[in-house]
Amino acid sequence: MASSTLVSASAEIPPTPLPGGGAWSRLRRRPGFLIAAFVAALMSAMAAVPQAFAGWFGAGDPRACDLVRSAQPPTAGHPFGFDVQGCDLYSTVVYGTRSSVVVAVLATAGMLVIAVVLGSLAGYHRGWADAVIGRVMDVFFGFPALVGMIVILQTLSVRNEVTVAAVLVLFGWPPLARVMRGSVLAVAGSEYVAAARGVGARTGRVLLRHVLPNSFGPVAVLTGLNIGLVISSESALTFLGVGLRTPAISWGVQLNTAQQYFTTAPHLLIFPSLFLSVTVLGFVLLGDALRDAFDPRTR
Amino acid sequence: MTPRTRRGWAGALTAVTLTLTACSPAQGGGAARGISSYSVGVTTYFLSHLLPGKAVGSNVDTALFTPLTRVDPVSGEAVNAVAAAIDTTDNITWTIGLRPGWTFHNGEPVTAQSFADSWNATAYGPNAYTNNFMFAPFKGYEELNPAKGKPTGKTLSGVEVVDAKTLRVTLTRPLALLPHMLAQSAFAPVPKAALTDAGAFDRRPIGNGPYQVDGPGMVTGATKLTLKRYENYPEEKGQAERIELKSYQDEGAAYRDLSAGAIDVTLITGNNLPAAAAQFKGRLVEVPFPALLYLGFPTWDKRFSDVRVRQAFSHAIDRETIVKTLLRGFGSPAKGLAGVAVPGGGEPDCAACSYDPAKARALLAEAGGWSGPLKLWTFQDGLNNVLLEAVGNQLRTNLGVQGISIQTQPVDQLYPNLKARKIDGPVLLYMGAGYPHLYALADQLFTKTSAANVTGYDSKDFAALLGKAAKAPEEEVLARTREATGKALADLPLTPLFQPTGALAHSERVSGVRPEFLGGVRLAAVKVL
Amino acid sequence: MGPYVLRRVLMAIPVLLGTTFVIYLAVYALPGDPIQALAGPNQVISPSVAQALRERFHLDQPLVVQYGLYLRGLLGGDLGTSFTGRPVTEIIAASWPVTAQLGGTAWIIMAVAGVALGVVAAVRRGAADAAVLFGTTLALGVPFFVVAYVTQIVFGVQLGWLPVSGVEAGWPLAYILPGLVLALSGLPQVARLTRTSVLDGLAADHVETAVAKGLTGTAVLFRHVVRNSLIPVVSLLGVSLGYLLGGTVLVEGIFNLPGLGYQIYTAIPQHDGPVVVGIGTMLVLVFLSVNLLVDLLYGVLDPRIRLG
Repeated sequence: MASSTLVSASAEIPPTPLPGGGAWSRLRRRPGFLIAAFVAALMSAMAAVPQAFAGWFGAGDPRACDLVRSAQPPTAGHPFGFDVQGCDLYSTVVYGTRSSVVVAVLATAGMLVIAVVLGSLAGYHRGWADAVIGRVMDVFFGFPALVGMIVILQTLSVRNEVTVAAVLVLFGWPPLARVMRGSVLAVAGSEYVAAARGVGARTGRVLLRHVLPNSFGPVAVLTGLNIGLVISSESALTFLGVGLRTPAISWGVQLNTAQQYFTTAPHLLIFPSLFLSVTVLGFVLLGDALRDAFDPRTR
Repeated sequence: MTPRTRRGWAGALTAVTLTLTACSPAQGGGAARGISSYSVGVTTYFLSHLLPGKAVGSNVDTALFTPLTRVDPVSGEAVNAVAAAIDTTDNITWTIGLRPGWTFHNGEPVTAQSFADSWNATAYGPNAYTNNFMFAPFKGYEELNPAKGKPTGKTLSGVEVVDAKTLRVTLTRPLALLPHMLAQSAFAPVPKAALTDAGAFDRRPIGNGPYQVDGPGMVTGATKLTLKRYENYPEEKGQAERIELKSYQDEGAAYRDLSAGAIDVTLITGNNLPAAAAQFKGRLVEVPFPALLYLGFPTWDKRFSDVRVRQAFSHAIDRETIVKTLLRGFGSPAKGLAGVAVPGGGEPDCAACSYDPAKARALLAEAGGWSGPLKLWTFQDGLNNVLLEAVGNQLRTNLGVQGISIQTQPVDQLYPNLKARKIDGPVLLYMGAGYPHLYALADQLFTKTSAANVTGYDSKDFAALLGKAAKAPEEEVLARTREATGKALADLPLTPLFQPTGALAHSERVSGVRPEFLGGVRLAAVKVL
Repeated sequence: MGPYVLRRVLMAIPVLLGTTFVIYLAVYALPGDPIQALAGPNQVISPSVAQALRERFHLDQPLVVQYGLYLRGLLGGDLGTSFTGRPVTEIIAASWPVTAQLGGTAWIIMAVAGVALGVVAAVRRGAADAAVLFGTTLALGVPFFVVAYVTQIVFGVQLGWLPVSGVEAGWPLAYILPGLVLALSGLPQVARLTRTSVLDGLAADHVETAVAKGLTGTAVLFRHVVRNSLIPVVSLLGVSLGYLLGGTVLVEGIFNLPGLGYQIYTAIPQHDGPVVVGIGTMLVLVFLSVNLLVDLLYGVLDPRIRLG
């Protein structure tokens, strides 16, 4: 289930019609893309079937805990050691992939949709559309996002992947939209767009064929980073007491617990952070590769 | 019954001797700079209100104000401070004589009227002082806090100023522990200035304690409060000439500042303790808190109406291991309602507190077993969450309860929801004794009308036993209180889990670091080397 | 440009009013009992005191009346009184310098370091590019409260170079560590975006023309590439200010700085409407002003964009 979400989201990153075989073969030749694709596939698989990965070192049940082993460092059969509750850290980190990836993908996909639609409208049409969208953006962006998220999540009182992702979208879309608008603004002023308009192309066609593909680069790159930011924000929300919480297993929950013990048991922090960093790296590379592949200027 | 008199001299002498031994003559860097001064990290909360009517009862309040009595930390007895004698025959009407020589920091003498003024202001509902509830036992409280409409008077009829040095206090019901209650900073006296501008006084109080405020006080945006020694303090004067109180939003930041040498003393709790213990080996004073972490059962929920279910839960929790692992030994597994830090506590009076998984399973089976999911509740706090998760894991392992989830709410949602009986599972809570006596803890947790009784416990037998304790002569109060707590623990509306511990860590510049009742460092006792 | 600025300023008025109402509504809708929150860890408050406090802060009135009373005060320049009894204007006056210095420091670090890293990564490619990529990714993978604790321990406690917390050391010493931690949360985005934009710029036609005309590398880089590439980056820097101001909520707590972020963070659980609305609106105002400047800067950077 989660894997399909991930695949559909990575397919959503370029909102342009997929180009033909040319782009694909260029993509396949890029090492960055191969690494990124591998990481994304691995994380999707872990999110979908954690039980297939959790048992690799013998202990596969993240709920089989023995307090006596609380926060003990890695030993044979437990390559990551134990968390504060004495559970096998490797399997809890593997099981944590699902919540974190689902939140990250849901939130980023949501932000992208809003950002691309509103950003292009504002940047291409200018005028009142730009003014209204700009003002709405200002309110959402100017108000401290964390404060807003705390207030809303406290009011909702239901905290699951969907509500956390929704709140992250609500306060997370403006930077992407703003960048989208900026780059649409620049592209819309260029000669080839003027030329396309000159030969009488309809607005929708100009937007889809000429403006979007050429202005999507900066947003695609930010999207990769955004996935990392979203996972970090999820842990910040937990830190503030309004994020996901036990029995949910997520990297955010793990990192938040680990920070209370990081001077005495640093491994609690290192391993979830490592997984998080690798995932972020994968998505960053994916964003770069897609930008390079679909940007007509670098073809 | 013969009239009893509290004479505090013996107690006061003990305190003086202790202070003297703790502070052997030493000259250090502080003296070389001409003035002995040290800095303390305190939480922002401790500096939020300094008016007795709103005071939180911290070590800062104790440095600024001296009430009628104080509780001796060793004996647990209330000894006289400003009071010369506190007499009663029936635990209802009390005559309190004041000692001469006490003055406020502005030179105004401390009289019976100073106490009456302070108490009347706090007890007067429309003033909205948060410590108002503490005056409920006084005669005349109802008139100042009517359920509907405006108060009919402005003063408590139960507080009479007989003459400048004599107060007469009348309560609505017997309360043997009034002298303990009077030791709280809420009962401290105020000079006339507090009555004209309470807002200004709240930020820059004029008290009668061993230290006075130097400078503008807690003006908006201030992050520290400077105190200087009050030279006309009639008892043992403060050791250091100046104290800088730095306010911290995050206790961890205070600990890291102490490590960096930016402050001299701070209280450390929770997850910073293991690291601090390793770092400040010889400069760490452990502080057992007069408080209890407990698991309360929603007795209105039919799944918890059978005492055997509650006993099963209690026996299934391995308190020893949790203290050893998660608390790293900082805390005590509860064997009874109160630990040694609460006067009268330390008795192993909780039979259900032993770890016995087999018995737990048997009790649960007898009561019909458990089916369905289980929610465990607490308020937002990092350590609470970790502890509750461990409790949940043990309930799953030892009782086979599946589908355990942890729910947290802010305090301002959790307490009203508990009162409205909307919480559908056991709740992990922290409760400190309002004043230093087992009676206070028992009264808060188990009396039906107490705001802190969140389990819905309502026992006529318990009420009768505790009532006897309140009426008892001084020497019998504790024994009677224990009978009452024994009854409550047999009914087990809540099960004690741990008595938490903190620690005072300090720099090499200071000595004589000792805790106040609530855990903060006793400011007047710290000596600069 | 004059009428444009005037129009933007006029448009800010409904935005700010809307903001105050939305925030007021949000605080009003918070579940839980403000009076219970005010009682604090004490947990006990007598009914008469609760009633007196409700009347004093108009909590017994419906939302519309409360907001109306707030607006009436606002017209007279009164931002209301906090539940702690202090006027909100006094609280803002005491705390804004802290947040301004913190936000400013972080913003400068983020802009300078982010753009520099991005340009280096784009121009040098290869190892430099990979190093920037890995470094910034790592910064994202470690939650920033952890970064905060680690910097406090390393630079404050062990090396003793900088104060661990508090504002007593003044600017810049007291603001370097918190500013760095705050900047780190937005730096990867700035660096990545700069890199991408510069790469785009390098591939653009006019750059190829310039190189063909025989201009040297550095001149091309700065006159044609970086200047044009900065447009999306400046846009991001403008909006990042909002993000940075939001981040002060956490950073000010960890570094014990008495700024706006900390005030608003403590006011939320207290349901302290006047403080949340006052500070929230003020932060939006700061954001609007900065972004007006950013938009004006657009015109300077790119002559193709005319403001109107």
